[in-house]
Order: sequence, then structure tokens, then C-alpha cells
Amino acid sequence: MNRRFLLTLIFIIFLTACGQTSNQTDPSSIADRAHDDQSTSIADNSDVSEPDKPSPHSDLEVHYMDVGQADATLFRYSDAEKSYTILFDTGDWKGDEVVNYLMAQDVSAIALIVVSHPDADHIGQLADVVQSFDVGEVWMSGNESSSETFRSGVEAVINSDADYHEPRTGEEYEIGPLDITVLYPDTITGKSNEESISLLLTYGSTKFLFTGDAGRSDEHNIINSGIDIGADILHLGHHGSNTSSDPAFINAVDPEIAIYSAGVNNSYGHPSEDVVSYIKNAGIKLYGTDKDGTIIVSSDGENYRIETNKEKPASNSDIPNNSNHNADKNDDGEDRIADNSCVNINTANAVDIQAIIHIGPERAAELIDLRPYDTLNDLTRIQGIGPARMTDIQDQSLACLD
Amino acid sequence: MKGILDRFEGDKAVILIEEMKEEYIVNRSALPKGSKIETVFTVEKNQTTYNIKGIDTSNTEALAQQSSDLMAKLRAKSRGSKFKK
Repeated sequence: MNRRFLLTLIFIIFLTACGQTSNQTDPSSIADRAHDDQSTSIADNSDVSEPDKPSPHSDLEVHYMDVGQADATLFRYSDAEKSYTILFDTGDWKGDEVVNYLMAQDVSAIALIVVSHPDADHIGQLADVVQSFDVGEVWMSGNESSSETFRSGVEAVINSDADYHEPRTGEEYEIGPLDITVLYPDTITGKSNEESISLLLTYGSTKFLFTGDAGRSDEHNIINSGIDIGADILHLGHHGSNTSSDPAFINAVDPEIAIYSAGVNNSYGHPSEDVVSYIKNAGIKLYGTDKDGTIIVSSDGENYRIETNKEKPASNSDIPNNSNHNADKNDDGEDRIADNSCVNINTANAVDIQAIIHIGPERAAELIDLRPYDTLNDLTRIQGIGPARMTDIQDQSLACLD
Repeated sequence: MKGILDRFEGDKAVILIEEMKEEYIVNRSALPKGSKIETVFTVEKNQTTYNIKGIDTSNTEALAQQSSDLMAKLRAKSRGSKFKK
């Protein structure tokens, strides 16, 4: 495994989804354990050639895309003969960022799309992607969903020229200079999250691991598969939730870098504080799309480096969308409430209030009845909101006052 | 209108109201008895929120069958992966 690691942060603010960027280099290099001190800007992808054309060798780039409370990761690399594009998960069903991002990266063909499992925050934009690009192959776990989002994705693959495959534990693949080992599932039984496709991707000596939403017992199954799962960069399972990232699994992977994909102020409390603490205490560097925006790991096969797109100010926050307010779209493709980055407990409507942890429809109605509130702590007047839940609400940092 | 129970996230249930391109997030405990992933609900819009009227059994079965039929069609075109070592 690669243990020579160069880390340079480049903070980039996206001006538009069409790839206009401005760069601001952070002079402080967090770590420097390699000889190569070059850093490339995210905007500088103009030398990526079209697929099927000979191209000079270029580094692998892995883009952990900021797609709000969802997953989508883009791999781009080339060898002497051609360029390759791989997509792992396709964002949320309500968004449209994935096609836009790929267009901005001048992608025209995708060798492989992997959909880890059929939940709407992973298979969300599959249909759009398949209809927008020339796709060579699509992998799914084989588990099904009843959503129209799932069916339209499957129909798009059926109507395309793409091949289809359901990968299983132990299978090995080679796409140009990138090797892929399938870690999971071994079989499927209808458990969507648990049986997420999990892959180890190897480029030279740099290894990347993805587990979708696989849970802790599945992580143990992966450990017990006998496959060497050591990796440099681990994408934390289930958006950093504590349903995944069992310490035994983290220790077995032994990553230098952990990355999670989650939306700002998401309704589910992702990532879990326990997971974040464990990762940090283990000395693993942690990045998240909620805090760092899109995260790009580049590797020449020996050394790798990391660049991040820092989030725009709070006005660009991702408020969970479950209402019919007349909201603008933010860059995450999520609706947001008139530039607010929090849910005002004195003015928010019943649906938006339910984004607050422990607040369902009944408590939302009671919350509205008990208005006005002078302090956040007044929420303890609501039946069922005691000190412990109040602490969770405060930790979530979503509820606010005028 | 229809809502589909897409997934659970901790103590929250995520219901897709696909015809409105909206999600309705409720506490798991607020769901009708017998609800599970892929259950289809009859829902109605109530100003700024949704009410779950009940489980739509016939659509729960019909949509699951539609998805299974499509997957069978997709698998029929599968020739394995050309990237296999």
C-alpha cells in the first residue's frame, strides 16, 4: 500500500456548475511525505482527452462530488492509449448536479457506472447520466426498489448500449491501469443498504475503498472474506453514520484518509459524532463534502494529494427538502429556504420543522401551537423533548431563533 | 397521490412523493403498522405538509412487480463484464 503521501489543499469556489472556477491556494501544506510538490487546480482539466483517442499518461483523479445528502464519485485517468471515466453512485433523485459536473469535466463517455444499491440517494440520477453519456457498462447489486426513480434508471440502462453485471465478492476486474476487487455482496437477499456493492480500487500503489451504505455486520463479512482490504483512502459507509464504520473495519482498512459524503445540516445527523471522533482519534485525516465541498484525490500511482472545494458561505447551505415552499435550487440541487441556513422555530412551517432531529408531525404541530419561543431550550416544553433530546437538537445546529 | 417508503435513516423514514418531486420525512413511529421499505402509501398534501392516509396495498404489489419485471429484462441483456481479469 502507498504510504508516501503529499497533501496540498487548494480552496476553490465554484462560480457556476459549468466549471468556472477561481483558485486560492492555501500556503500551508498539512503534510509532506513525498517528493512531488506539484499541485493541480481542479479547473485545470482541459488536457483530458476524449475517450478512444490516444492520450499522454495522466494522473488518476477521484472526485468525491458534493451532491448534498447523497453519494457520487467520479474516477478519471488514462494510459497511453485512451482515457477512462468511472462513476460510483449517481447522486440524489431530486438533484441534477451529476450530469452538470461531468459535462463541466468534458466527460463524453463512461466506461463503468456502479450503483452501490437502489436507494434514491445513490441511484438518483442514473437515468439522466445514462441518457447523457455513452456508457459502456453498469453494475448493480441486483436488489430492487419500487420507486419510479429506480425503474427509470433501469429502463435507461435497458434502452442504452451499456452492458449490465451484478458483481460478487472476490471477482477481479481491470479497466486500463485501474484494478478493481469486489468485496461485497457475496449474495443478495433483498437487504438494500446492507448488500451495497463494495469495491477496492487500486491505481499503482494507491488504494481506494467504497462500501455504499453497507452496515457494520457487512463490514465484518468483508473482513472475514480473506481479501486484503488495506486502503489509503476510505469512503466512510452510509454518509458517516454510526450504522457503519465499525472500529474493527476501520482498523482493518487502516486508511490515511477518510472521506464521507453528506449534506450540510442534513436531517439525519450524518456524519455520526462517534464515527468522527473515532476517525480523528485514530490519527486518520477526515474530509467531508458538507464541510469541504467536492474533494479531489489525485494519484500518479505512487504519491497522492488532496484538493478541496470549500463551501460557499452559509447562504449556500443545504436545507433538507421536504416541503413545497417556493425555493431556489442551490448547488446541491436541494431546495433551500430563502437563504436561511437554519430552521427558525418561531416561523418555519410544519414540514421544515421536521428536519429538526426528534421532531415528527405530532411534535411539529405542538411546536407551532406553543409559539413564540424566547430560547431554543424552550423546546423542552414540547411533550417528549427532554434534556437528552434537547442536547441532540442543539448538537444538530439546525434549529434557530430570529 | 402516492408516496413510497424509500429508506430509513435512523429514526426517520424517507418517503418519496415522486409526482411532486418532494420528500416527506417522518419519524419511523408515525408510519402505519405493517410499513416496510418499498411500501406505497396513499398520501395527501395538506398545505405545507403531507398526511399519510394509509397503505396502498395494490400499488405496493403492482410497483414491486413492475420493478421485478424490469430487472428481469435488464438481466436478460447481461453478458457479464468485459473488464473481468
